[in-house]
Amino acid sequence: MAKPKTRTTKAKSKSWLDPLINPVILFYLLPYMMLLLVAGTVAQKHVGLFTATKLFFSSFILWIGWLPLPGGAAALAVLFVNLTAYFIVKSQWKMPGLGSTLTHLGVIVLLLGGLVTLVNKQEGFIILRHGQQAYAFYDYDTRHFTVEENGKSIYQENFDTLKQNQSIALPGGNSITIRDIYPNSMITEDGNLKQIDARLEEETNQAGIVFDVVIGNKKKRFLTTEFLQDQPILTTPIGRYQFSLRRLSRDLPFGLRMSALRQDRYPGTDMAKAYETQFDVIEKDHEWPAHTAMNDPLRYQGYTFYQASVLTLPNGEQASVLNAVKDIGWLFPYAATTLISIGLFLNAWARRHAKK
Amino acid sequence: MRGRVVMLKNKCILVALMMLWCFPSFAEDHFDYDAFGRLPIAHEGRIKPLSRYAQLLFKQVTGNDASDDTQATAWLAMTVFDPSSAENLAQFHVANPQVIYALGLQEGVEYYDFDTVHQAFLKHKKLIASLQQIEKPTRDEQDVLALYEHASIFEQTKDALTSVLPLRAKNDAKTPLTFSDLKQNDPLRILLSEKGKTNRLFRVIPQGSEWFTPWEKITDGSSDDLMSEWKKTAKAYIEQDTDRWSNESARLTALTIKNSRDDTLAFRLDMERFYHAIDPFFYSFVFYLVGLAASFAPKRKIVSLTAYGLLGTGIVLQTIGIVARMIILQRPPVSTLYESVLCVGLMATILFYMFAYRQNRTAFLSLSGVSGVLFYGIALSLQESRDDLKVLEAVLNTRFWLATHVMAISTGYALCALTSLSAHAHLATKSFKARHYFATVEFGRRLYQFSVWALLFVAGGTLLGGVWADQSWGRFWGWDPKENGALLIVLWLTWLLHAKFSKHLSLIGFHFGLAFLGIIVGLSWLGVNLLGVGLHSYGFTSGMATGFTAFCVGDIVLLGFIWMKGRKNGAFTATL
Repeated sequence: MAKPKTRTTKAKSKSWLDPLINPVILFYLLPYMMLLLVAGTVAQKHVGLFTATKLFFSSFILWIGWLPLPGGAAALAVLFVNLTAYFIVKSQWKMPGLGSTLTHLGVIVLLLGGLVTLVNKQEGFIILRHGQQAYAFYDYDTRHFTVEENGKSIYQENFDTLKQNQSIALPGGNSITIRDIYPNSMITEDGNLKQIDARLEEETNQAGIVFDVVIGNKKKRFLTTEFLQDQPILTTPIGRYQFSLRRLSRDLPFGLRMSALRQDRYPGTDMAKAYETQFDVIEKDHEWPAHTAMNDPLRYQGYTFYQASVLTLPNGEQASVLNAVKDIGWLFPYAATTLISIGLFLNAWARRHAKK
Repeated sequence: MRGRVVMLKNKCILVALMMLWCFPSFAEDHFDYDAFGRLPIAHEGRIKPLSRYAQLLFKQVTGNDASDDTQATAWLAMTVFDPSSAENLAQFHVANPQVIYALGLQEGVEYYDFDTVHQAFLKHKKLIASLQQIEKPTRDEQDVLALYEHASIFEQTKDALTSVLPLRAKNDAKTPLTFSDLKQNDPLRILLSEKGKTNRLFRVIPQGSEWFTPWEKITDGSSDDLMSEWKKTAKAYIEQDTDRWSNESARLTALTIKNSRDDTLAFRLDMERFYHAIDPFFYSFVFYLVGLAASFAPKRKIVSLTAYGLLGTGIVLQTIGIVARMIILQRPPVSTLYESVLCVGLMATILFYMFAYRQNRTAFLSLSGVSGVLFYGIALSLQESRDDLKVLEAVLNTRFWLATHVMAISTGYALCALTSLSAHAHLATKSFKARHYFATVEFGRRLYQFSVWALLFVAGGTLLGGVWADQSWGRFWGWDPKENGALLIVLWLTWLLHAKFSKHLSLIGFHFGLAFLGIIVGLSWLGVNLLGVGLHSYGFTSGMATGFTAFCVGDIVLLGFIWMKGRKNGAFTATL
């Protein structure tokens, strides 16, 4: 006669997921993540927030000299697998284990949201003067070198992948040779491009390049920077060529036109107390008023516009700087926060209750 | 050449101007400065009582704290109403011999008058200009620049009311002139106007939401009932008419408050004066210290009640201080590092006190005292010599998020402090095999409960911070140092709790991990501010690195000692 299945034997039943939920994984993974966190944070002082994040937290492999170590993304991936497997095998939907289950589910949702954001998030900025319209936003970090022939793009490459002495073949046997690449640069009074020390905050640097162009039998050297208003143009009998280095722009399915900018200051100081931008959202058939302020973003058609700061232009005019984000994963952290908070509370409450 | 002539002419007019102000010198007076000290002034973005402004300025100039509100206010009254006397007071404190040498000041003198300092800076204009260009000045260079800044502030303050003061000519004492009596092309008027244009410090005239200086009001030509009230008050001061001074200064203050159209301003001004008068945090520290000593005294009921009373008084005083700050600043009291340390310290102290009361264990009272003293010490190291009641950056200016995220994370820090201090007490008593409640298994279990609640609040607060970041910066998580710091505490507690469950960590190891939580919190809460990078720029601090390192090293040494003692006494049988 077969023995009836007891609770103990059920708990000990084997699953192919068991190796993935071995507690030893978490026991060594969490201290490693803490080390990574401390090292990455300290590195931010020396290499800047953007670079340190890329090196330590967003990478799958962290190279310490010749030694490859798991990067932050790899560590989070292991955590995700470990938690998901645990959730599938061990989740309890009754007290006292419910709190723990909800907490774990919340962390899974959070990590999943992080993955969704990492894959699809578009982020950039828009600078709007009074009455100005914008139909696109610019990336903070990604810069593109673009060649246009008679207004049509014929070549585009990410600035970060450009190499010195790189030869770029253009249609019709024409070519460009990159001579110098500067992550941060300035144009000197005599019209040359000068390299200056790159700032730790990547988005504040002014990237610049020097390049030779051969179009037909015409050869000319150009230089440009990403903030240069008039990007170089070469007019030949074949056509009109424009060479531009710009931050990557992304089109919006609607337009924004600034109607008012409000900046409250603390009395007697230049210190801002609050910012608010009022604008019209321009669509094909109609326009409607909207606004965004500090801690009060505008969400529309999957895009979110945040009030980042106010810029005083060289002519004294004030412009509103909006942070524009498209992220389909933006709700994940909200759901995760709710789940983790409820889960942790139930957990703490259950422990107290159990003791009584 | 023409330029030199103009300069010479200006200098001559200045000398003449000095001679024109020949008011009675400041002596022991019998003025009542209460109403004048209550007068509101906009300073560093905030409306504060003039007595507070006077105290801050007095400290900057003399390097010393004024003995009380009255001394500082009397000094400021003399400075603005009797500038020529104020200039001749030897009051600028210069302690650094390098500064004395660099500016060519007379050696062996501790205090200098404004005229001497001003002349020295006029002679060394190039030096100041070059020092202002230096990105990271040395200590000596900083001292020169600080003296220059203090002299400039003093100059602005002493000239603040020259637009309303009588310019009494020596040969015509009965008919004093004021600035508005001077003709448009009068050289004196032109010179005063030039100086007045840059006078932007003494903002005592409200109009709408903005506050103006008397010079700004004179320059824009608008008439104001407050300007005439200032003239009357100045006249009463100059004529040393104590009764009229009392009436006029009271009227001036009342009218200024009325013109501000801020219904709660009067209450806030009184609250700020009360807050500075009682110095609640210092006295709460004194009560904590004495209460801590009493909690260690022999266990008699009267001693125990005394400890309860003393520590309770300390808690009440600290609460009064924090509530007063909330009223003055009209926001939750957790926006600067200094404020958050005070707030977290109060929470931890109250938690220990509540445990002492509920469990009837005076041992918790000792921890309450330790918490109060420890956090006051940390807060003191973070307190700035300038005004510590600060206005908020635009992104922080939201009561909702300050009341949710910041309060949640502060509660989390307080629970971490509770857990860490309790773990220290548990391990220390256990290592000596003391027969004490802290050494019991029951107390060890309580540590686990503390850690679970600490994780709840730190994790909840961190997640709420992410939601706030999403609302204001457009991203939930950005690997900013402050965010990483909070995550470090969450990871540490998560690791300890999971390792305890999976039995990868013994109970002793778990308790040592909880004791070490103090250092983890220190790193996350204070340490990351030393990096000076990231979006949380409002939390940056400097100059506490040594103290922080000493705290970490001291705690590691202490825990190491406890570990060795426990092993030696056979108290820690299990391995880590």
